[in-house]
Amino acid sequence: MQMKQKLVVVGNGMAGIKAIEALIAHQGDRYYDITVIGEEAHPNYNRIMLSPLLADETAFNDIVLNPLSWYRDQGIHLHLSDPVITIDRKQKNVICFSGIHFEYDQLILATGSKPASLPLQTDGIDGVMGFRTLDDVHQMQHSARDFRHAVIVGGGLLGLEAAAGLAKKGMHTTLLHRSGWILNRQLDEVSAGYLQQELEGRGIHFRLKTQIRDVISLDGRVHQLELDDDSLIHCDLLITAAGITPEINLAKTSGLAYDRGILVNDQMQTTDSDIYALGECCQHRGECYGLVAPVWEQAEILGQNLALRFTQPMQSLIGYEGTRSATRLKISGIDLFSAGEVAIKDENENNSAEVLCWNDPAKQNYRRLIIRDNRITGVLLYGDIREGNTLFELMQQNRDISNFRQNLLFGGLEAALKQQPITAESDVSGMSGVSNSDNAPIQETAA
Amino acid sequence: MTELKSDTASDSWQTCTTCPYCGVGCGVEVSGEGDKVNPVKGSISHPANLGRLCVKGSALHETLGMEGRLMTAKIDNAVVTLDKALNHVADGFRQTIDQYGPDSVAFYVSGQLLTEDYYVANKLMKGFIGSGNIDTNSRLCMSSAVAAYKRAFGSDSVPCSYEDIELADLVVLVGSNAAWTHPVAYQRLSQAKRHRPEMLTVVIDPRQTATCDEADLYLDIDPGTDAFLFNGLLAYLANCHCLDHDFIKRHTENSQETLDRVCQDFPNPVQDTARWTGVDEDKIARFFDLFASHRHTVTLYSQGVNQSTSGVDKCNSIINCHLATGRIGAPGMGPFSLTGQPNAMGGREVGGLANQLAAHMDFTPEAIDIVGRFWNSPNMATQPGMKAVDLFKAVESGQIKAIWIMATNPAVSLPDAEQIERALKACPLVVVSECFADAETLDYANVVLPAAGWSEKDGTVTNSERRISRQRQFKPLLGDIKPDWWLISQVAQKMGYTDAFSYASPAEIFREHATLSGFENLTGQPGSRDFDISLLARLTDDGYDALKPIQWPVNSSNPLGTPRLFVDQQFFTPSGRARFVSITAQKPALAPDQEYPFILNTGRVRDQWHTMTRTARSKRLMAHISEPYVEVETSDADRLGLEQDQLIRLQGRQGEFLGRVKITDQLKQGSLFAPIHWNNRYTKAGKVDTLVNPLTDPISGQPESKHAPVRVELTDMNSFGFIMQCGAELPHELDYWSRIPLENGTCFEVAHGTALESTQVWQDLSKSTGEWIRYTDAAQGISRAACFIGDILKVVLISAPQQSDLPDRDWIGSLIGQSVSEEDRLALLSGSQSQGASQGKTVCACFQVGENAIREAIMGGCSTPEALGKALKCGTNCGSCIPELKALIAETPCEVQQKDTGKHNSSLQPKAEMETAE
Repeated sequence: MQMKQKLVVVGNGMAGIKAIEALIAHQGDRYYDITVIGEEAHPNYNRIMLSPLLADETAFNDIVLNPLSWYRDQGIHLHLSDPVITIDRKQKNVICFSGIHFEYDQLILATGSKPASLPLQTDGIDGVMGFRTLDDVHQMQHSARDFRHAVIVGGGLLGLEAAAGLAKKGMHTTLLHRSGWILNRQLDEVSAGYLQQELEGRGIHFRLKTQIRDVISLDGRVHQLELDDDSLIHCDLLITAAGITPEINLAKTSGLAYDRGILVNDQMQTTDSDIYALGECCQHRGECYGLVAPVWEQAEILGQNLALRFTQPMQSLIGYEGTRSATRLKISGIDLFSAGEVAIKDENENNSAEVLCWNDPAKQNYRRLIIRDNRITGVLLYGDIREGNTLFELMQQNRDISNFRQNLLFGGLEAALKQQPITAESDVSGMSGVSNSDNAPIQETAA
Repeated sequence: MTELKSDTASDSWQTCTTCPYCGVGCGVEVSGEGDKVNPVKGSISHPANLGRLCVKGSALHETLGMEGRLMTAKIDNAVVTLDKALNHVADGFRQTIDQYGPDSVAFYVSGQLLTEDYYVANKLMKGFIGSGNIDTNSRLCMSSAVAAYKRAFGSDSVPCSYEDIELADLVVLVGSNAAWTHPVAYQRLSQAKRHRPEMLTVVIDPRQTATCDEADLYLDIDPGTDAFLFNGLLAYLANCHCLDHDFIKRHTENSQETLDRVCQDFPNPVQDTARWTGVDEDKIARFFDLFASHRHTVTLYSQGVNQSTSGVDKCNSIINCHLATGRIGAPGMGPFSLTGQPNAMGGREVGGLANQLAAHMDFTPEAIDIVGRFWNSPNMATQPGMKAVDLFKAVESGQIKAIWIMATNPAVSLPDAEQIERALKACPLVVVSECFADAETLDYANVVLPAAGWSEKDGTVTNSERRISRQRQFKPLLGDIKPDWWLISQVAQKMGYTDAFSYASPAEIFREHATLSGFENLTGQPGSRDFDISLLARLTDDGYDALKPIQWPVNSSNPLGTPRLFVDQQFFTPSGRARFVSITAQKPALAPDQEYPFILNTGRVRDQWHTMTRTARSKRLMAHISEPYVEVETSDADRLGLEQDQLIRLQGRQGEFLGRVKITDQLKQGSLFAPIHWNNRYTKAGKVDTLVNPLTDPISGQPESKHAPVRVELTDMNSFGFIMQCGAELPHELDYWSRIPLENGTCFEVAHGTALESTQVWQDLSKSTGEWIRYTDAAQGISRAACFIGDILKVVLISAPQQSDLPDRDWIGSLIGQSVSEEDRLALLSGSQSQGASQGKTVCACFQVGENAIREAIMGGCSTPEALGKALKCGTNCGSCIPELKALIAETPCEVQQKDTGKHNSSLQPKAEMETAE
């Protein structure tokens, strides 16, 4: 048997470890000595669960995905609390902050993302932070104990989850959002209204169509915010959750091609054929993903290809084709489901959007579908989301729904579908995932 | 304990009564506890039905609610005391009579009245007011049959019993859809036929009705040609030497003239008849042969024969054939008219038709003298009054200035309904005694009197076989509700006829009625009267209460009643002989023409009765056929491009009708059929009598309701839908609506030329207070909305550009006024309850996997989260439910899990995944 190759993974998060798990599942570990380098001090945990953790709805042990014993049992060398700062592609070396080097034959970049920074001067001001890591959660929990006023910037999934957690911990919580309604990339105005009402009931204050003009500090800590409507609000803790930025510094400094993320092909290879990237740090076919389902697919494909590349020709390896995914919010007691088209933009008169809508304002239950050419192109459920997956699958399958169009929004859809003859229809959208793979609707990752 | 027991015992009750619907007159057993009435049962001991009931009768207990009942008197729509209303009526009639004479007033009564009510009304009008102007809705039903019997037998005598139907070898049904209109009589026939397969039935009808299903021969005659058929038959019988010469010679008169005439008109009976009636020759030949060869023949006939401008002649053409073959007065034979109403016969007995006097006596000087002396009458009417159609013409012309309408809804049921409206609007005093607050005729009433209905009144009725049965009271009289006899007697007393109308009970009236029937009636002798129940004049109150069903005559010669008349071949003519009546068969008065190319036939549907005031209260009965419709023959429908359930308009000379197309092969080309029941209370324009022309038989005055020339017009409806609500506000504004009762509210099927959403009705209902749920598919123009108060469903509004886009009504309708579960609230506007079984608490939010499915999978052998993920996908996305999955696995007994563990483990794919999380 030939010498094992050195496989180094930069990033001990969900993407990198999932790829290793896939590699092992395909018996690829026999070809590699594996090293995983992590910036954080913890074994791989479920980042999605940081919101429930912040809200005290779960414990850290319950969100650990791979305990230290797993790395040991798999013979993986784990190197923690030491971020990689340089890649020496000539020497095929990665160099950590501590100066420790690791040689590689194959390198995986799974560096994730960081919170998008605000266009403000906040350097050196305490109490301004993102919400991405376990340490962030601990820091927020401390703040909740010691301070009163929390302000979250960004009414996306992550911002709402952070706000819900902090409000639950007793902070006076205000959420600032630039658009006219929260979750504007996932919800329409009606459903966003219901969500806002629900969250207001949980003590969150909303300031919509509002941005921060200035951060005012006192004794080195954030104290007040001046908003663009000239008002001043108290703020002891400022969470920035207005989007994420792929972490691409290593790619930049080592000369790999990048745009918003590190550019990869369908085999998840960067412009250096021995270096791969996956997860939130990469950009595939123009898309940067912030949801878990595409990452799972990328990890599966990468792990499988690394396992099979020694026994099968390259062209027989499967490629990643992108993922169309759905959104859910991880706030206990709130259910929403959103996938596909949200804001209707009609460009083609022959294929204009048709809207099916069911609305129960009293129960804050809402369902909306966007249909084009008898195919579902957008699913939005708020309240009772039990049929989200079934609708999502119909969307993924590009199924002609004209025969049961008037039965789509009333529950019992699966039973209704069983009575429909199934006609195989090819996926013409070019958007959905890997063939033979289940396209999962996706939970927003916590960062 | 004992006391409690006896209380319980006294709380439950039971009684026997008679069904208030058709002329079969079935006995009904009713029981209950306190106010609650149990489902009714057919009375096994009643000779008419022997335990059977039809669907209408079986639903009687569903029609007894007090909702919509009229419980107070009104003058000009204002509630007044009953006494004030009665005074108003008495004064009004008195003043009108004083000023304009007795013929300026009239009563229009009904075959729904009990004999006692009828007797008192007739006595007041003919004996005390002194006019013949009392006519009845029986005029519309069997007055032709009455006139024909009188012409043939000298008396209005139905010769047969239901038993004869069973004893016959051949039963001929003419113009009778007995399967729907006299269901229990038909069931008796049907059962007898099963019992004796050699028994034969022939159905003669332009429509192939449900009655044809079991017929051995069906003659699809052209509308209105029945007399041609029976004249032809008579000629055939003469030609083939099938006459009973002995009977003819000894017991009939006018035979020669009659036979000569038909033989002249039908020289080749089979061919000629086939030509006149439009039926194939071989079918005619077969029918003639069957009739000729079966001595035990009963001919049943009904409205299809009676409702004609030559109805009397048609009936006599049938009777002629029975006389010619001597088939009368013995078991299993006779010309048998089935009456439509529960007490049409009782009305005939008391003389409640304008051309009768009383107790089967006519306006002869002798009879006027007899009745005048019996009643001690100050002011006997001396000549017949006006018959229904003429009577309402006289109301319109102002000749009649005060009319009292009892227990009938002429605004719906008389021909040329628009003329009736004009007449009632023009009449200075219209009094209406009625049970139901929404009867259409009430719109025209100056005085409304709250009358007792079935279950509240006490008295007798007579069915088609002359059987007198008791209708018994089993519900209390609430509010100001009173029986009709009491209301009439009070008015009579207030008009000054105190002694003659001081009745204390129906029993007292019945005794007087029975006494009159025997008064100076020389039983068994020439000049005697057929109707004689003198033996019952001696009934005590208890005896009356316990009276068992009995067929008249009931006198000293027939103390147990009389199943069959003319056994002795003695008829009630002066000569004692039955009379042949020479008939010139005639076609209906109006033929189709270019403007009105179709012939409309009208009739009943199985589950409705008359103008629906009672039957429409039963959701079950409305479920059979819930909207007005028009049957159109297939090739006609093709030619006109009509589709099933499309809304069309029938335009007649007098008015119009809006209904849904039902395409059928059971009509002749060029014929249409529409039901008689619908009216302005139940639909936009479904009153078929607006299309019926006010043309009547010259003898009986019965209108030609079965033959109205009309044309078919398409409607321009572009928006269809339905409205459901707890109330019943009629959506008059809409171009089409039809009302269907729900358990706790009303459904309106609607259609409109423009978008329903833009109508006032829709917009008003959309503003109903409550929680609204809405569904829209704007691209397809579909909108559905429902309003709740709390969880109670109050209003549903559904509209679409096409009828076929509307959801099912049944389930939604059942929820109106009811508490609706969360699951059903979601499914509501789809029209069908969600089929998905409850999945239990959702465990995996990403893939919406419920606890029930997970538990089932664990029981099936999935013992790890990975195995569950493989089987159900749960936990394979965000993974946050894995702790819960583990907990569920731990809860499940070990043996079950281990059973299959190996197999499932081996199939795990990402083997390392998650396991280490333990």
